[in-house]
Amino acid sequence: MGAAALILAGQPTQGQAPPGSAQNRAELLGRQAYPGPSATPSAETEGYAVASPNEKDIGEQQILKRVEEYKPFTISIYSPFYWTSNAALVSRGEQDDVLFAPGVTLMYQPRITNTLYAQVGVIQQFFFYDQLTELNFASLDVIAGLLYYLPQFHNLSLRGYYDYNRLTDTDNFDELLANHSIILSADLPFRITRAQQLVVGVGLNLSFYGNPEVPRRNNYSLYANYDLALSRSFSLDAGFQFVVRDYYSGDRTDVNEILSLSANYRVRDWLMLSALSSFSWNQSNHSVFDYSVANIGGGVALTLKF
Amino acid sequence: MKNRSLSSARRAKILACGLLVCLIVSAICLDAAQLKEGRVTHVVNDVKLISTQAAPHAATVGKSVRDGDAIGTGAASHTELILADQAIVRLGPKTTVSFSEATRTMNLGEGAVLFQIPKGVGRLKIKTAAITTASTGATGIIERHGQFYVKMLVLEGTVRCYLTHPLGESLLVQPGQILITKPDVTALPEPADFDIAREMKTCLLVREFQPLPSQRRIESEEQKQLNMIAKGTYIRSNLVILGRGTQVTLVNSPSATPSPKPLTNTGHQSRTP
Repeated sequence: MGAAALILAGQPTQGQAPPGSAQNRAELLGRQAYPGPSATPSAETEGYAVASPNEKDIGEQQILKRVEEYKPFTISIYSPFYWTSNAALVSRGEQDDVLFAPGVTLMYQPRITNTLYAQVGVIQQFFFYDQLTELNFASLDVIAGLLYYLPQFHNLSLRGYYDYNRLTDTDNFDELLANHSIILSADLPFRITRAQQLVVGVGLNLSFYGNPEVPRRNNYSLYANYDLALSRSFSLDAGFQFVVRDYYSGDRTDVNEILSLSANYRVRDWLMLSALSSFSWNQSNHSVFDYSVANIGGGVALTLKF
Repeated sequence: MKNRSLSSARRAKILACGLLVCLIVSAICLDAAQLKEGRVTHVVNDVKLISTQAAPHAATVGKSVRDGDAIGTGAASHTELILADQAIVRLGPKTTVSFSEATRTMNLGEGAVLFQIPKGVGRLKIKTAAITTASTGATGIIERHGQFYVKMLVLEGTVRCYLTHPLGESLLVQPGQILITKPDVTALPEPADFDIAREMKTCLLVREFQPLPSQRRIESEEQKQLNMIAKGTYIRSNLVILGRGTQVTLVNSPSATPSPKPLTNTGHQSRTP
């Protein structure tokens, strides 16, 4: 609980983590952990048909359609690691460190209609620091909600779910923070070519109950993600997120920007290796909460669908 | 006298050893030469051999094909060759190929080729435009039409298909998969699936020749595909490419498999067993 006291203390001191720091670190370092879809080239968009030179010698090729069975369950196990320039996300007295953030995601996404899916999932991730072990923490998310695709509106996807987030220490799993929120998001994908995709979106994270009260906040975010598939197994991703964090306690309001870059190599359908980096800047109306941080690392992710 | 007969015996022994060494060396050299060249085993109508050492001439059964040689077929003509490592290639009409790297690499300029690479013997590479295919054990068909398209079908085994430029991606094409792409492609598309049984029943490069050594493995792949169709993993579509090209024809009955056409044996020179 020593770490908890540090993290949740009202006023941060030099080298110590300010309120909401664990939340910020979970959001910043956890957001690259889940392997996302990539814009893989497909044959369909090539669409060239050339007249046959009128020879039957090679026989008739009757096309078979593969019926893909929908698999509602997903298990992902991942282990990203980072060098971070500012482990505690503080404005003064930054200390760099190395951290491992292994995690597991269990997701059940049953199809209700062709465009409507339910989502129930559990995400557990641990954050282990090499030097500043007092900052170690674990994050548990339990989510339940709906995902709705609107193909008629440029493949717009709408998502709304309840999220229970519990941050604990890693020794006794003593609770540092419990937060209940409703998360709403809208994503609009733009396919640029068959190997490039841009997704823009807006998100709301509305906390309706939190314990303790100090780090409770609502997040209002705008984001864009660009994905370039250089080959069927290698892709580059760039993402930018602009978040306004409005805290319930006091008059604190932060503006946070996150730029993330990653290179992903899909070794098998179920195995992905990644080089990860993210840069974040935080500006607050209370300058003590200003910080900037760079994280550079890599990771491996195993994903099974069934 | 005793010494003299001893030295004769020694001389005879040395001579015998020398002869043995010569025989072994000759056998190795002959074997190496055999491995480095292919042989024409089947010719129908107009098949030309273009050699680096001689003017283009008609190919006949038993003719050798070496590095740098090219072979071409005219209209309504086809041929079969056995290459190094016993790989079989069958050329359809209006097809041109050349050979390099001890006939372990084949360059397809135009036309269609059926290849059968025995397992565990060696590797055959087939280059065409920006695409190279390689396998150490597979049967398939590759077709190229000028700068318009390259098409590859795999009947059994696995074929690695890759782009020849340094950062080219690669793709494993499995039995029952068909890959169609442009010759100057920069990213390989996803392969589609085709009915192996229908292909085998209608392919003249199979039907107008002796059975392939990989026939059983192909039949096993056909059976696997039939099982998957029965399970509902595959559905027969009503889309068929009738022969060469990429033009897809809509047929009435998706499950209709044509009855085998009678074999035409006129004008064949058979492969010597």
